[in-house]
Amino acid sequence: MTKISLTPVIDVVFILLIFFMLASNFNKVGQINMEMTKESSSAANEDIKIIKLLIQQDQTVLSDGKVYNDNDLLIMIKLAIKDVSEYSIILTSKNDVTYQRFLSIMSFLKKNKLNNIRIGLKKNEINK
Amino acid sequence: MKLINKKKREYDDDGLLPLVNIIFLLLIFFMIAGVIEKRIINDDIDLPSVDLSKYNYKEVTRILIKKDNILSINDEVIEMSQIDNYFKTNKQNEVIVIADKSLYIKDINVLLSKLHKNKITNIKLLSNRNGN
Repeated sequence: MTKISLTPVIDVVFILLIFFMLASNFNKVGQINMEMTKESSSAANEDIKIIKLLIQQDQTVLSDGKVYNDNDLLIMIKLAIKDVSEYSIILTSKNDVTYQRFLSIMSFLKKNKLNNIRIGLKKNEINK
Repeated sequence: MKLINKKKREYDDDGLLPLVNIIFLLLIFFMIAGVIEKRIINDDIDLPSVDLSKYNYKEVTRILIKKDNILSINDEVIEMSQIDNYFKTNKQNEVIVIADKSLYIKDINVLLSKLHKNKITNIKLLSNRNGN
């Protein structure tokens, strides 16, 4: 019985394999949707609890004059929004804060199911 | 004396079968798991390493900011002051911002403020999910 040689099949499959290895890429990009507000804007609805956070580069966040690390921050926010129906977290940053640090805080809050997060824009950033 | 008539063995490639199996498996893996799409991020932009939700590729306006603060929209270098004019002529309501992680957020906020002013409501910031 004559056997079909496998060599041409292997050639073709190798070429296909190399093509797919080079041409394909794995999706490793993440995304976050942004909402913005002016830092000075006040809530139209009195029932909305506004929590203003000032991000610092040294892994801490300022809120109402107090310094919080990540875990304390989460506890503080959870306590603050416990008895309110609606809340909004406004994130502003000190001038030396990097984009990496800012997104880390955003991601941390989102992972902990805090979704009403807005970027607070400073006046000097708006007028530039 | 009995002569042993050794039948000359024809060349066959049965020994290659395990190799073929593995190559087929690899091929199927790359065909299924890999996505062939346009690269949206240049190598000279180091995205922030943050595990955000998976980015779904869409053909929208891309705003890139390199670590030296050079801004480009869809690979066309543009000054920050020209953004308003750009969006006046190219009406958009969705953009993605691809910025280097070492940039200061104040510089990105200036851009976000301009986008907000131009009524671009759908703004996505991208990150590198594997970088954690």
